[in-house]
Amino acid sequence: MMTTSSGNIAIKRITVAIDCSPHSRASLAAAAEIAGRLHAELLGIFIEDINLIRMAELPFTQEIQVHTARCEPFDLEKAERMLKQQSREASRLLRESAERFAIPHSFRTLRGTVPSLLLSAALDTDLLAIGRWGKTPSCKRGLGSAAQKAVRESKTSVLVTHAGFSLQSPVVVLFDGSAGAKKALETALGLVREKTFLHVFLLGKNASEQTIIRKEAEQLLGRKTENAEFHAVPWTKDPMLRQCIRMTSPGLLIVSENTEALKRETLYRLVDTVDCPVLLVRSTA
Amino acid sequence: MPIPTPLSHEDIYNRCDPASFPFTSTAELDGSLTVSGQERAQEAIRFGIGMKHKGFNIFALGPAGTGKQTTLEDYLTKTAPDEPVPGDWCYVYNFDDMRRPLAISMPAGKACGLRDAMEQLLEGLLTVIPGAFSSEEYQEQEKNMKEEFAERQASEIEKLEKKAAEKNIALIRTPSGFAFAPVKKGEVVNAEEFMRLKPEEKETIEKEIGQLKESMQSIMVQIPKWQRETREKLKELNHQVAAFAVHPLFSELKNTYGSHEAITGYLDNVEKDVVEHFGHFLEKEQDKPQIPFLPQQGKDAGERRFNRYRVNVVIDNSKTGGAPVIYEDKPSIQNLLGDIEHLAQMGTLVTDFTLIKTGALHRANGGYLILNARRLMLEPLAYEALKKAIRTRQIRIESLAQLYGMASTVSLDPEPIPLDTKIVLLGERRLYYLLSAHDPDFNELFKVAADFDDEMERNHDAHLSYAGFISSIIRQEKLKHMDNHAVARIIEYGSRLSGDSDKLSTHIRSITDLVSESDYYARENGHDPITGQDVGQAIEARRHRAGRVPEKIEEAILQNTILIDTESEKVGQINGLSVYTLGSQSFGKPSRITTRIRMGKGEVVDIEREVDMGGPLHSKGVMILSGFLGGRFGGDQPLSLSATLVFEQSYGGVDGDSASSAELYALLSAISGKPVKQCFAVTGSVNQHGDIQAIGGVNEKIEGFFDLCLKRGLTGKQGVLIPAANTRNLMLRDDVREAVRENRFFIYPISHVDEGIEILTGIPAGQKLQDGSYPEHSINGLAVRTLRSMAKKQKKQKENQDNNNENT
Repeated sequence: MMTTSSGNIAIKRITVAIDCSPHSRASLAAAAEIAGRLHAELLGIFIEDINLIRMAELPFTQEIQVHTARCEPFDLEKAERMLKQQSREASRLLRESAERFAIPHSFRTLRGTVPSLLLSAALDTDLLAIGRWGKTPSCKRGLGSAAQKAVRESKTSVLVTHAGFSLQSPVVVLFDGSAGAKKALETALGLVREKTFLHVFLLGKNASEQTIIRKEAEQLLGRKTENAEFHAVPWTKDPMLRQCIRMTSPGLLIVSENTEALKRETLYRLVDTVDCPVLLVRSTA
Repeated sequence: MPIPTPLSHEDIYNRCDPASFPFTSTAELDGSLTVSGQERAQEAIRFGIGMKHKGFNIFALGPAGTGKQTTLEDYLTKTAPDEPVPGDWCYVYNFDDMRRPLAISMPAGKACGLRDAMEQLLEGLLTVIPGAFSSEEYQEQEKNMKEEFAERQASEIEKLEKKAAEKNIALIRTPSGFAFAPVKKGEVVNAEEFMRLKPEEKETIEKEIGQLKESMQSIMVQIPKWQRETREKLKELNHQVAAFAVHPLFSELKNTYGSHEAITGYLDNVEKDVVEHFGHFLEKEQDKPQIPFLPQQGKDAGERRFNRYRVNVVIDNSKTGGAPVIYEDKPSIQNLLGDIEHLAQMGTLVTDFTLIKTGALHRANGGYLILNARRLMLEPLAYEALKKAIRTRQIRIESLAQLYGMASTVSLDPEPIPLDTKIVLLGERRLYYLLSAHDPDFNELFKVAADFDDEMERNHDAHLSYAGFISSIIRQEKLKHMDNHAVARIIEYGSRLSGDSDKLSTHIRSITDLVSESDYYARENGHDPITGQDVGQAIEARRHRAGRVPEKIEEAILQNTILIDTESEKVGQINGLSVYTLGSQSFGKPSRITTRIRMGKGEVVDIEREVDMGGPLHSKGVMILSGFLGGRFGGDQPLSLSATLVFEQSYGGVDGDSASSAELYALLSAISGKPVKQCFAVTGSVNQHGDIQAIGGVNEKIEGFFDLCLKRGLTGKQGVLIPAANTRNLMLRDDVREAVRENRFFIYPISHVDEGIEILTGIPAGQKLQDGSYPEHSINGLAVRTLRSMAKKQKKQKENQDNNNENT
């Protein structure tokens, strides 16, 4: 992700991982909306899991059906057929989303280990959009394995979404006055619409620090302070911070990886557990 | 037999003396409405209203315009306000069977309160329930429950995953399920590598995977059960939250209606239903999908969502004082019993209990319902439905379209409401007698007949009563007041209308019309108050308006198109009098009656009957003539004549026996050979002994002949012979009275045919002598001579015939 001379963020290419799961559909919708807002290009990726192929090649593999709990043979032919179907479906979903926002798009099908392929595919793009959960078996608890890896290891900014993303809902930005936090706030300014409400959480240790960082935030926001609300948040631990975020019912949380007030592990846990879409801004991009 | 003297002008009109009134203008009267002369009917009404037992409903019978409705309303206006006010009724949703809405009764004026309270409750629920379910505490609890399920599921799978990982086996998600595969350094072992394993190692892996599969299957079998458990817990939580949130609202309402079991029971059901369906209160209109190209279902549809908690007040007696008195002008089945309306929604018809509409029976429940019987009969199925309601003592609303299969949409069967209404039917006598004779239910259901008379005795009290009635009309219709002369004229008109100088008509409508018409002429004449002259002008104008037909007939007579002689004397020819009724007006007209005799066997031939133009009463009258002739002249010798009788220039048929005396006079003239004076006209029926009997329409008949004579010029000889019994019916016009007073026109009251024949021929009828004969030059004597001569001729003729027969 780059910042232009005018201070606006420049997201030109967005990678979105599509595995046809409900969360990946939500991430596609979010990526398309952001791309439409920023006139960016959308790059759709469908990854054929190599582990699945290998498993299908084994002579004894059987699939336990989700809705019947019955065992069915699972061979390579079946696996290939199903993956092709999913790839076609992913391509269609991407095309439809891109057409809706009139944005350029491309689609690729890759084969390999999902998390690592995803990270490498996103390397030359500005943002990686991924669903909170993919097809991890022990699902619906925290982030899925691919999302976890992306949050921790991706070189680009990461958008982790589930259903409910909207640029019209209030946006929460965690701001401590650090360079990373400033970039997060600038990103928020670039994304939000005219009337979208912005909640700026001032992560200062005490009142005087909060006053200082508030002024910095106000400077960055300029005229957009009308739609912004500042909240002094003295807590930097996960449960309290999460509780505060939840009270504003946000449509998106924007936080920088380099927010100095938050420990890295606290930040990852927050991204892992918060129940709204999160845009993790990376300064290295 | 002495000839009766002609009636004087005082005998032919029962004048009402204006000076007899204790007022000079109706303005001095209080204008209270009193209907007199209907004591019998009023007593019946009092009885019928007082009788509270089953079937004692009232049928008020009498001619239209005799004040049936006025009398009833007058009576009920006085009595109904003192009776208890009936309760309110409302329909509410039946939570056990939505097709059968429940009817709830409550004291008068309470139903609207309940309806408003339920509306307020609904508003409260729409605030309280979403508030409860959007609270942080609830959200947290709900999330916890859902997470508990997810946790449980994930935990079980995680455990299995770990167990598998210990054995270097991974659980992998496939496009439609799960599978296990051996892994090495985080990646699935490929087929070649696997094949390179020792057989026992492969067997171990396969065995372990098999066990893991079974474990996974058992977890998956558990998942729906966990889901169900979570759902149940969530449901229980929702119920508890909803019940806790709504209970204070219901509790307050139940305290208000604590003494009313039906309402508190209903409120219990509503509370239960609200808790059960709390989700409806959480739905927002915009959440519902709209169908493209169709108008928005919008507010109405949204409003209707909560109809089940609304109250349909069908009877609201909050403003009723005493028992209700309802007059239903259009007694259709829907207007009587009510209806279930439907709404068109998305091309189908839908309904609910809020669309139940009540009828007149509901509104009149606990009071009185007045209906016009003829209109009731004209409305399809209405009479049967009314009878059913009376018989079953309940009002059951049925959709007519449903009843006859004209609509197949789902409809309602509302709980019937108990009926306690006195039904009063107003109708004509013929209708009452028809129903009484042909409808087996009628006499059971309408046991009280209030028979309204169309006339009343004329006396001073009746005069005052009439004046009071006129005064009330004037005030009601905002007309000019009348002076005592005008009132007297109206009373005289009432007497004329009744056809009896000693009676007064009770036909209120005619009197009301005359008062209004007199007001019109008073305004034209610039009179205030209305005078006797204005009333006379109104009566005359009314006669003139209806005078086209009688004038045409009179014109035809004057032009001798219709032959009526009013001057000469003719044998076997006489002027009869008949009455025609066209619309509401009657008029009299003279008709020429002629008779011819010849030898025969003593029969009188009615030509009218021979050609089927004579009615049975007329034929009867003619046959009576044969009886009279036989009795008077056939005692000593056979009647050897045949006579033919005919109404000349009659083309429309003849009925009634009022011309039978005229026919007898013509016969006696023909038999005796003595001419009848054509300056007279005759009316009256006769019996076999020659007694003259009363007839109807005597005033019109006299006036009909008078008008003709007047046009031709009164000679001072003309007159009319009427039955003496009809003298009391005379209420003749001013001009007739004037002519009688000046001896230019005569009216003879005749009791016996012998009196009449002497006036008509100028020759006495002749009394029977001791030897059985009649004086030679009397009518009877001459008739006997003619008959004897005929008998002789007939006998001689017969002898000649017999001789001829013997010779041949």
